[in-house]
Formats: sequence, structure tokens, C-alpha cells
Amino acid sequence: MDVDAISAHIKGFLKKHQQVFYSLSTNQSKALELAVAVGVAEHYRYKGYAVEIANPTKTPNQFVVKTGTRGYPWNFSRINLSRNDNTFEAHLNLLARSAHDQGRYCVDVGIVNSGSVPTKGTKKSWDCASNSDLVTFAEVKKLFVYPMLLAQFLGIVHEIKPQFINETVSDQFMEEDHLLPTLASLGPFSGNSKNIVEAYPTRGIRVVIAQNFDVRLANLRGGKISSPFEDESAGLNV
Amino acid sequence: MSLKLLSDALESLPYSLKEQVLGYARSISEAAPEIFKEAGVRRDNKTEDTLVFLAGMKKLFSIVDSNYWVIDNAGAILEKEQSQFSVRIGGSDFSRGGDYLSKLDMIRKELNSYFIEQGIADLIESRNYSEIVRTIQNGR
Repeated sequence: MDVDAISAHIKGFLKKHQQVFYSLSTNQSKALELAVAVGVAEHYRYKGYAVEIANPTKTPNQFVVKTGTRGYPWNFSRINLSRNDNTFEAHLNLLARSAHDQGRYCVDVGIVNSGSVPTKGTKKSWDCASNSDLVTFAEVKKLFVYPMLLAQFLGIVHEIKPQFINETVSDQFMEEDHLLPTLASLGPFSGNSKNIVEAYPTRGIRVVIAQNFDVRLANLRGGKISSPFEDESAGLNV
Repeated sequence: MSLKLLSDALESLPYSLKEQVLGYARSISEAAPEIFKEAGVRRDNKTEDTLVFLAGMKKLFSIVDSNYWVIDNAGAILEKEQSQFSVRIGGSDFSRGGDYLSKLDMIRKELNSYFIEQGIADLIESRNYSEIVRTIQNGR
């Protein structure tokens, strides 16, 4: 193997496709957020919910993804979830109120009570979803699952939905088969992070850590699994 | 030396991607003593440099490949389950068959073809670094 020649070739290849790699660098996290939103929708379908996508009025045939804190939710697509009399909505990059103070946080995918996020612009400015309307949420990282990432995620849960780390999850939440607060990651467990996650149930921590999310999504597409968040082995093999 | 060759090759890669590739290669460099020990082969600089360079190539390919498949898989599910054929994120068209995904597919295939041409595609795909070290030392 001529490593010098390969290195020179790769250097030329990266230069030739520089523009594509710049786009990739900008879009990497956004693509993952889209994938997790799709995974969330499929999870609820698996749980017996009817799933319907509602696109903005201006672009009724286009799924428009919100990619950051800026922009009003009515200008982006939402996913309506309904089962019997229970109706909810999933929103990408949703601003939500803290459980403790007036802090606002942006969750990658937020599931809220239906009707709690306006569908069109209002005279009164819309600030964020109230904490009581936010039912659950999912975060996504293009990283390995490492111990400090887990600690950071639990910090987010503590600020937004502390009931999932202090053993006060309502019976209603469980009866409605909601997704527990979820961290999806592109990489596998690293270091001793698997040991940390395995100990969560014994500590009363109710969250989902979906490592290898890209693999889970591939398995979902291939019909090998029904939810990318349910099965412990979902992220192991394509 | 082990990271220098890789770092030079990645010269025109955007910073965040370069850091992902170098970070991964660095972790393999740090794990090298253990990898050689597990492979049961004598550690030498040339093999270690090749190992670290290949780790960088694996990460580079995995970034392109996983990004392509994440978007394609999400798009396929949206199409099948929701009849959503058009996906926009910010100013970019993320639809299957759209410009961005087509370009990702093109560089993914070009990179893979080059690795096949060089006879290293199996090493890029392998998850077993001990096996990779043994293959390098056997003269590949």
C-alpha cells in the first residue's frame, strides 16, 4: 500500500469536491435532526398513533424543517399524532419553558399537547411552549456517547422535565405510550458510558439513549425494527 | 509523523469535519499499543502510521456515507409513510433525488471506487483494528 500516493490523491479529491464538503459540514446536524423527527413519528405510529404531517400553508407539499431557534413554528412542518382522544404534535427545534424558572430552551424535537403551538401568526408574539404543554422531547448529537455527554443530557432533562430523573413520571404519560426523553447519537457507546446507562433504571432515571442512530434508522427502513427507540439491540447491525 | 500525513491530506476539508477525522485518528493512535498487542505483532512506526492514516480514511468515508444514508433513509420513510417527496432544510433541498443528496452520493461512490482500486476497501470497512494491523504487516 502506497500511503503517500493515497494521501496525495485524497488531498486532490477533497479539493475538487470542496464545495460539497462545505455543504456537508453545514448540514450534518440538520440531517440528523430530520432523521430523529422521522424516527419519533415512526415510534408513535408503532404505538398505535395516527401520524399526519402538516406542512406550512405556503408550501403544502414540502416538508420544511426548522433548524434552529430562529423562525416561527407556523412557518415549518409539524407532525400531528393522535390515538383515541389523545392528540399531540411533534415540532423540530421547539422553544420550551424551563420547569424551574423563566429560562427558555430549544429542544431538537419536542412533543407537545395539540393546539399549544400556534398554526399561524398571532398579534401577540409567541414566546415558547409552556412547560406543562411540553410532554417529552428528543435531542440528537453527531457524537459518540461519552460520559460527559450523558451528564449534559441529564442536565437538560433536569431543567426541562425533571420528573424523568426524580421518579415522578405520571401514570397518564405511561398510559399514553409516550417516548421517554431521548438522546440519539450517531456514534456507539465509548468509555464506560454503557455502564452508566445500564445503571439508570436502578437510579430511577427514565430516559432513552439511542446510540448508533443512523444504524437504527437503516434498520427501521429495512423493516427489521418497528421503532428506533425501543429495542436495546436496534443499533447493532444493519 | 502518524497524524501529519493525514492532516496534510485533509488540508482543504472544513474545520469541523477535519476535527472529526483527526479526533478519531488520534483516538486510534492512542489505542495503538493495545491494538498491536491484541494483534500479536511487533509495533513499528511505519505500520502505526499506516494504521492511523487508514483510521482517518475510515472516518472520512463514514461521515460521507452515514450522512447520505441518514437523509436517504429519512426521505424514504417520509415518502412511504407520509407521501412526502419534497424536503427542505433552510435553503437546501434535502429531497431524495435532489441536488444535495445526489452530490453526497457522487462523492461517496467516488471515494469507495478509489478505495476498491487501491485494494483497501476491505480495510476501510473492517471494524477489527487488530486484523487491519496484521494485514498491513503482511505487506498490503
